[in-house]
Amino acid sequence: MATQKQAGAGKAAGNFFLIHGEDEFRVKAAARARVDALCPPADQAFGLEILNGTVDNAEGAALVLRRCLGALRTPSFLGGRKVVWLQDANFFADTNLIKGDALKDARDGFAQELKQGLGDGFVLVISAGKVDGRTAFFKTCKELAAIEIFAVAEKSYQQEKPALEWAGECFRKAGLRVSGELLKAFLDRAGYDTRQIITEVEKLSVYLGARKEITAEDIALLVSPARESENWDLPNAAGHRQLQRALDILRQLLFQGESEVPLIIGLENLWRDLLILRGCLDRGWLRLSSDGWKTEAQWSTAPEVEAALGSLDKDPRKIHPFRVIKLVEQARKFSSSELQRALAETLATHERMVSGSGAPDVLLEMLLVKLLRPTGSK
Amino acid sequence: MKLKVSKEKILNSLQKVQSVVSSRTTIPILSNVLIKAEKDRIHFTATDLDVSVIAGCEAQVTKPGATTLPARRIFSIFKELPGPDIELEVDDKNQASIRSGSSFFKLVGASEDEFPPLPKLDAAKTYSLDQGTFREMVRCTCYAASHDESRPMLNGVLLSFKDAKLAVVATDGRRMALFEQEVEFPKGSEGDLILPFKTVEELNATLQSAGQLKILTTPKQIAFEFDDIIIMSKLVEGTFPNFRQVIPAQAEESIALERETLLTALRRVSLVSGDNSTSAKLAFSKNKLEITVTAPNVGEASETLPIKFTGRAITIAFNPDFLMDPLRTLTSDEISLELTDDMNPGVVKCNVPFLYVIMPMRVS
Repeated sequence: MATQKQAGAGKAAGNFFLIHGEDEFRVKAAARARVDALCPPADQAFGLEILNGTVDNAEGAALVLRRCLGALRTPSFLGGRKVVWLQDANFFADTNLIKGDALKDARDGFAQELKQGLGDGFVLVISAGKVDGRTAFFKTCKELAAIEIFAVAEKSYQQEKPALEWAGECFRKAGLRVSGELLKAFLDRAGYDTRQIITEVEKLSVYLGARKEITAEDIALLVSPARESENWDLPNAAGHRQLQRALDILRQLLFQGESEVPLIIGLENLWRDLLILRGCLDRGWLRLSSDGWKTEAQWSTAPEVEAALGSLDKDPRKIHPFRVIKLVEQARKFSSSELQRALAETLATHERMVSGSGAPDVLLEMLLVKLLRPTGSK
Repeated sequence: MKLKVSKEKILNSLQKVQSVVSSRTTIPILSNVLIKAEKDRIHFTATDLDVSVIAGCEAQVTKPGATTLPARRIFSIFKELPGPDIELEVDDKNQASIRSGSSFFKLVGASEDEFPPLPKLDAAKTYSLDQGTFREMVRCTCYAASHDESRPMLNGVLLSFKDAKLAVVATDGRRMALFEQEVEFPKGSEGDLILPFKTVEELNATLQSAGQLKILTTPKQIAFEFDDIIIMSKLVEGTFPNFRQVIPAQAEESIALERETLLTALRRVSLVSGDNSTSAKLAFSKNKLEITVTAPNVGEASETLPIKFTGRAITIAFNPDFLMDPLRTLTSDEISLELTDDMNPGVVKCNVPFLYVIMPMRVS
């Protein structure tokens, strides 16, 4: 969901705009805003020509590009500015579906035409999904166009931060108040897709009416669980002692067709990692330091640490520092004895699961309840 | 319901309603045709919910009634029946028995209650026109309508009743066709109506060259009544752009051209184009018109025509298909092409109240 702007010569001329990225909703919204700014809705009947750029094959793509050139060569009926919007183009990416010499030639020819200039009064706006940065077309765009990119991060952990910002913005625009914790709970259900987020916010807004404060119950009641859970979501929730969240994720994962055994192995690995890190923290072998901007994991270099950790099958010092920081946050929520008990219970449940002494899903649910129930409850 | 009808008449009526019956509809009843028999007539109705067509013919009705039967199937069956007359009987369970000569068919139908009711045109404005004139107006303009779904107003044809005239207009933003005729209608019936393209296609297929045409309109619906047919349609909502501002006030040159000769020459040279990014360059010089088409990676073609022209030399490029469209539909021997320069629109006129504005193309 990161937005990036690049300015080619077209930025100065204001006659060529490329708006692209995998965040289809924001690409569309930005392109519509750009087109409306260039050609007010009242003038669009004769001042705007829209070409649909969604095609099934290379021949279709070549035809669209030729039509686009035709539109760029025909002035507006009433004189003045003419905006040509090549909308939702899906043939600038590197895909196996839409590929071939015909497309390459058409794309290169199109780029050549763009290099010759658009002509007085013509403006070209291209909105597209992913654009292959290696093509002559993209290089021409970099040279000539004002580019806006609405990319979606590949890794889900990279998607969380921009999704939080976007969801926060959507709630603010809708005049709704939501706490940071509930915002995360909202994303846990709605997922990171921008269109889905805005739809769910609108739904909440309609439901709440005059009320402006979002509650956990509102989210549970109204927000459709659209996000696919990942296997590591379960240990993450368990590590944070979030029972309800862990149960929700477990049910979602089972609904998605995940089997119970890999899930319980994930929990075993979690308790082992946390147990080791908790021990390291207690002995002062590991500490987290922060300068207010950045947190770092610092390992003691004492010989006994080297001797103890170096002999382990899985040396915790080799875990990625980012993950160490995340695991330390979780390890601090448990005592060593709690972690030992959690590991023992998990291994026992695993054994019962594979020996057929109970329904695996029920065994997993019972394990989570037993390990994560609030202290003091029976 | 029980009746006897001439095969020729029933096929003729059914043919007129066939085109609105969709074979891929998600609402099964829309694949059926509603058949109503009353007094000495039989009526067929088909609809896709946007456009409805009703056609009728004479029949010997011994028992009035109504039913719905699969439209395409009964048309195929009636077409193949051996006798000159067809007997149709429908029981209470909507089972139809069809007899003709030695043939007998039994078909399962559906109740008329399942068929969607047609819109009511209460308090409609009414216009009366000559059918042939209206057909010509629609035929000479509809090709200029846009097929871009993002601009629904331009996806249809405008009927503008104003100042005792009917203007039929279509435009796709690169060319505009206008046909204007004087018609009589009450002063309070002035207004603009946008016909969806599908309705225009129905009119093109069914309007005849002679006879009266009655048009009834409400703010959202329109009906065309002529001969034994009624075509009902939704209107496109929205405001058609002000088409009059597109017409150039004046032109510097008006060049008389033989329509058929120009069309033939354009058709020949456009054989090397093949898509609408290629333009046909028209170079007018003293008593000569040279038409050239150059298509990258394909080739080049040129034609030279003798013309009566003594004005200043002008070279202008047009989309050849756009220039050929009015030449194909007009019937006059001669047209005039009005030009100012290579960046201003060209205007095609002829001896009927028709006008076609076409934007030139930049030649790179």
